[in-house]
Amino acid sequence: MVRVQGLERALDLFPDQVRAAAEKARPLPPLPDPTTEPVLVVDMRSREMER
Amino acid sequence: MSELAFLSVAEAGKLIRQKQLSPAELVDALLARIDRIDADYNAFIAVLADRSRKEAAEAESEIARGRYRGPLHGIPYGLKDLIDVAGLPTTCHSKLRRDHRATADATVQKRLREAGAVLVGKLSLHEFATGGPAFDLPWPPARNPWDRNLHPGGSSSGSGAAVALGMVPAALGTDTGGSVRNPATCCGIVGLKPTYGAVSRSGVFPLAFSLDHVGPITRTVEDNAVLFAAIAGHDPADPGSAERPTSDVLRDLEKGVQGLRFGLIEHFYRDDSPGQSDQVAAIERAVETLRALGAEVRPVQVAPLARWGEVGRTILQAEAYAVHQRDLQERPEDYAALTRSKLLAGAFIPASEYVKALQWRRLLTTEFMQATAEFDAVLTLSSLELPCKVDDPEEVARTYERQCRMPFNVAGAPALAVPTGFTDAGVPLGMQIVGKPFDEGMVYRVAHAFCQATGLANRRPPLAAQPAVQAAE
Repeated sequence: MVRVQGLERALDLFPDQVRAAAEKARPLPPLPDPTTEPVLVVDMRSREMER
Repeated sequence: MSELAFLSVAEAGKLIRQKQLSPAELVDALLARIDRIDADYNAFIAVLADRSRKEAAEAESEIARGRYRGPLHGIPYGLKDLIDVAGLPTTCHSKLRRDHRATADATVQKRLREAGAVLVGKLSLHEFATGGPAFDLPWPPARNPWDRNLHPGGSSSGSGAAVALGMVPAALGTDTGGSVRNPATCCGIVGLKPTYGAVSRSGVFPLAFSLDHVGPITRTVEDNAVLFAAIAGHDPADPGSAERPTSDVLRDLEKGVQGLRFGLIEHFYRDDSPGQSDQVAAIERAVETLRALGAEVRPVQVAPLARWGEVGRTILQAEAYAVHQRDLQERPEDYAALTRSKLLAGAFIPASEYVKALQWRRLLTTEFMQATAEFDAVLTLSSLELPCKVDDPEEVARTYERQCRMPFNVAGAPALAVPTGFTDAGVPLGMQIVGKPFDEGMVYRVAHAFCQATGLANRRPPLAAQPAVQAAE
């Protein structure tokens, strides 16, 4: 289990679901350039700037 | 009653303006239809009969006094029940929200009310706009208008079902990973995910802030454009709202597609994740129709569908968990099992993965904008599968994410789902028309030409007498 802090109740009531959720977590592939600036909501609303 | 039920927004609006149709008569006809058939389809969580009759009477009175507000004056509509209406519960189709009362109208509701439209009811959805068709909630899941045993798509499932069934001519839904376009496709109608920031989300319960969009669901493209024109525009109450003025999406609606250039993202459904044969054959016919109308259609390559999906899913799960963390910790038993499973996934996404997804988002989006820059619009499938049985959780789980809609939530580009035909068994098929950001006008122009040429929007569900499946507890 990667991390269950705060999810003790869910783990107690629904152990299979919590474990399945943890097992579903898959890391994304590495970025070509890890210094790439992430997109933020404020960028999204200005998406026309990228045209 | 049937003819009134299937009047388009444009047709009804024209008749109302000419005082040949009474808004009160129209609302009464729709309320009677809802009363007669909705028990078989579960599209509504709340029918606002008294309120809608009052609003319709007010509209009629205003119009009689010469105060006509515009094309939505006296037009009935429904709202996905995660959109706030002052004084009413916003249930999000969840036990957790049964006692909620909204204190103010969502901006989109305020704009429709100011346009004189008549709110008929709040529509069912997948719990909190995620999860799926669930039978362990206070309200049953909506059913597909073309076959009650199938799911109607989601998460704006009631919006899709109500519009396709002629219970309302228009509804609003929300779309975080395809939740307007999926029901539009499954129900054989038209649904828009606008450009990110074009329509306010203020007063709309969030699923994932940076992917959420509010969009109209209608039976015709023209109606969809009329709704979009009414709800779009800057709203300072929404931090993601664009300040750019909204373009006139109706101006070029009739211009046709002669001479336009479209990119076809066929690797999504041919190579990346092969689509169901009827869906693929239908988009091939649609491409030929557009070519016959004078458009040029050429394949275009963007990032693989799986990459878009994993980036979108990571963002959605992380942002949704932030919204639901406290309730998942304190009262996880109050969610439907399906919803809980989906939301819990966000607990296991490290912050670095979320940031990495936002970094990937920039790369994918920049590449997409460059690859499609030469085209007026882009085409691809909507669903890779047909809707499965509503009470088959394994098939729901297998097919639900087999779709080509998430890329445009990640990119923020406008995407419209339109019908492309029906299977031999009468199940609707669909595709997406995708535009450049803030160019909903082009999307509507292409879709209108296509739908006018095919006439698919005129087909009505059979209200078949097949027995509904039993709830699977």
